[in-house]
Amino acid sequence: MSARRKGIALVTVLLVAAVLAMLATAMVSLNRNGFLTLGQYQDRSRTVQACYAGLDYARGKILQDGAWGLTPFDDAKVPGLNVVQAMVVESGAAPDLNVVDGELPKDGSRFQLRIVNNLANRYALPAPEWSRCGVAIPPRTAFVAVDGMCEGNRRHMEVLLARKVGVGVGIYAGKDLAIRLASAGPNKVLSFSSTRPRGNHVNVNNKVLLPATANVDFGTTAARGRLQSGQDTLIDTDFAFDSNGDAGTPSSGRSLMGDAALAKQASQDLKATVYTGAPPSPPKFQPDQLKQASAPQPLAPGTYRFINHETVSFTPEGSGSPQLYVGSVPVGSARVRLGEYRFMPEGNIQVNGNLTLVGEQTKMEVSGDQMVATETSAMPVSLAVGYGAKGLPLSFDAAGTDTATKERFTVSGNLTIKGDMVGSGQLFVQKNAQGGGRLKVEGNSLLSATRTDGMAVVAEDSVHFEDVNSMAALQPFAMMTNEFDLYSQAMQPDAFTAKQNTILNDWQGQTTANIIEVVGNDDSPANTLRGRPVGNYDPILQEMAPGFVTQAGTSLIGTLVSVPQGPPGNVVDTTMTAKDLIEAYVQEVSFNQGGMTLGRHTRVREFIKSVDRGAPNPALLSVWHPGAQVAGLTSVGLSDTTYNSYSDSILTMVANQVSAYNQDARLEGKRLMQYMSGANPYSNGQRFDFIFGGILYAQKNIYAHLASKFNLLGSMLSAEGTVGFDDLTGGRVVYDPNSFEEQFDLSKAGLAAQFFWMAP
Amino acid sequence: MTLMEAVLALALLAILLIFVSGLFLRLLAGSEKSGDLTAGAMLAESILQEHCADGRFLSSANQRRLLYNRDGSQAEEFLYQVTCTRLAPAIYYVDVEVSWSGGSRQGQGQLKTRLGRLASP
Repeated sequence: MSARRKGIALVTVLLVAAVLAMLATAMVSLNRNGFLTLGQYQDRSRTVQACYAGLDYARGKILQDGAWGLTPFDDAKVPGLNVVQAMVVESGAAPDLNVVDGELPKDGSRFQLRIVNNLANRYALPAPEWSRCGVAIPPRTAFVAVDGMCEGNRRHMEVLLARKVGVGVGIYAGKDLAIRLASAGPNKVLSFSSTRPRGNHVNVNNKVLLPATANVDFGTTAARGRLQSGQDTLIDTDFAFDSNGDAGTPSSGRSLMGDAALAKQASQDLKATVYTGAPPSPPKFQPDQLKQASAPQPLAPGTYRFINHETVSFTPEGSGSPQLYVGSVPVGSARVRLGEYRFMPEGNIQVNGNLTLVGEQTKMEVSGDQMVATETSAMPVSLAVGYGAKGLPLSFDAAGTDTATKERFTVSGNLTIKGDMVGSGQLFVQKNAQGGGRLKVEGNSLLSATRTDGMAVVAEDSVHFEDVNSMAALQPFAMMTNEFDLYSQAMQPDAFTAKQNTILNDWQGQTTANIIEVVGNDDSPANTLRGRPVGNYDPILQEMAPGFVTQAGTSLIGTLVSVPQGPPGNVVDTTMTAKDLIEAYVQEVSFNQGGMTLGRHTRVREFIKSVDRGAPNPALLSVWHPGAQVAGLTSVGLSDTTYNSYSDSILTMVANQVSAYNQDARLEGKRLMQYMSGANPYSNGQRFDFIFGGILYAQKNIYAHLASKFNLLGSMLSAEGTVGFDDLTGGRVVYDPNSFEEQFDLSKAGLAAQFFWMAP
Repeated sequence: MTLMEAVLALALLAILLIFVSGLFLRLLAGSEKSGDLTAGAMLAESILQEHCADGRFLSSANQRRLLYNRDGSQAEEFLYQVTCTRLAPAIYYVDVEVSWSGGSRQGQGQLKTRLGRLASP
């Protein structure tokens, strides 16, 4: 072996070693990178989980206390949690400075969150300055921003939380949806829309029976419609309802199932995607998700008959002697208030047995110099659930906070209301040993100023709506069609302060104090609705009672009323005609009291209706001293009234009338002031429409036989039955969760993310 | 090339090969562990999300999930346990621990991972 080859083995081995070393280094580096990547993945995962932890901490706190975040946490750093798994500190001297710092020691991660709680409000808030996505905070949501941190990693999350109400459709029928028109025609009769991008939906488990597609329209808003049925959808149907509200087999109709061309054409005409043979998921709504009420007080079952606006004659169910109640019905530690033909349970009242609410009015006529009773006829009454002492909806008092309980009226039996149901409380009609669970009610007129607005109705059997009684026009809260113009004129933005304008624009859910600030506490000329001048009153009076004959045909000249004469403290009754009283009142307030105002007009309107009802109430018109507080009108049977009597009633009537306009504005998708600046949309032809705002749930059928249109602002669900509209001339279904979300107990409904945004 | 040189070269080569083989075996094991840990971490995250979304917050132990992690034809068994602790009304701590290959193996150390967070219904 030559000398040149000396050492070659060693060199070769060293070369191999060098190559192997490089290879090993590369492999180690690759392996290390793998572990580093894994570590980073785990850190990022923990960072994201820290964000979720912060979000769920906020969610858990809100579920326990719906007002969490509305008040300062505490500058003293209150420990929210201090356990081995998590240490959380809440601090902040003001709601907009509230901050929550959390640490998850086991995961080596931390979070910091901030919140804007808008869950109880009905109006949007602007995005807070610290928001990075800058999204406005919609009504009934909570905005939570969380920063998650772990080992130098950082993630930012912004979420809008909203109640999981489990209701996402305007109408759901566990069986069929059947719509039968009063008469066939080419015009649009029924429209569906939604205030949410998704929600313009109708879900039906079995069949859908529709009139012509031209009569039905899902396209009134940008939210695309959807009509989904588990079986067939038939159009151009002709069928009849049976006595239970079930739809009979159609004698004619065209099936969309299996006819792709017809289904496509129908989808275009209806402006909705039509699915057939696709059973929808039932809504996840359960009545026990609704807010609870206080301990129930028992009210005796039977028939409560209003014989005047505040007096009820009670006939017990079965045996027992009849009783007369004036002003209120005592119920244990609670009561049912009686006023303006409204039966107003307070708190939580339960009836174990059947309950019937009816009313009547007795016409009085002049005979010689006396008023004598002539004929008695039915007068519609209201079951009003959820009203406060001033007669305003309690939801006003709770504005801005999320109340734990709701006013509830429960009937374990059948409930029949010869009138309407109004308010924002809860009505439960339950089954009992004898059956029960059926609710039968007339609707409330579109021209009624008291509405169901935010009400939750649960019936364990069926719900049956009948035609609205024509006497509804004489109900105390019935509006006049031309009053829209009076209110429109009174609500000119430049007539109010900036705060009053804000209150008017955001009317729904304002506090009682704010309502009174706009409406006013008396009728004297002032910067309030009640105090707003109405101008020349002769044409208005002429429209209410042309030739001094009322709408129901009562002569104001032929009606005698007994009124107090003279100054306060020197009350002597005198008898005059209703016409003379009105003229004296108008003259007095016009020349000596600053003029006719909206509040004073409301008094005249209500006085005329009281004449029409056969029970003239001159205490509404205080001729000599309008607004003067004087006790004692015992001579006319009203022991607790004064010259300024019924002031709260007038306040309620004006406030409720604005609320009614506001509800109608929402049906049109408008704000109140925008709606009021438009043309008068009311006519006497709409007086007997039916309106429901809230959530209506029946275990079995929901059947409506209505002489005129219906308006639904909310959701209508029938768990096992048919939703049927018979003899329909028109209607609107507006799916608006805002109108019923407040009914849900947060801790039972839960919160879901409505909007989710994440960034580094 | 002398005999001495040859012996030295062979010895060096042997040492080198032994070292490199050992290193490669360890790297292989590390790579396996890294792969399993990635799968385990993803599984833990997925199970954590499931339990938080479920909202029932029920603890469970000795649950198994088969994953095709290293070998597409043969699934590997991952065991997991979920511990839900109620810390306050409507606030829970959900802890997910995932283990595989018995939880440890010589040369690979602990073969498990965990992930947890606060959660609410």
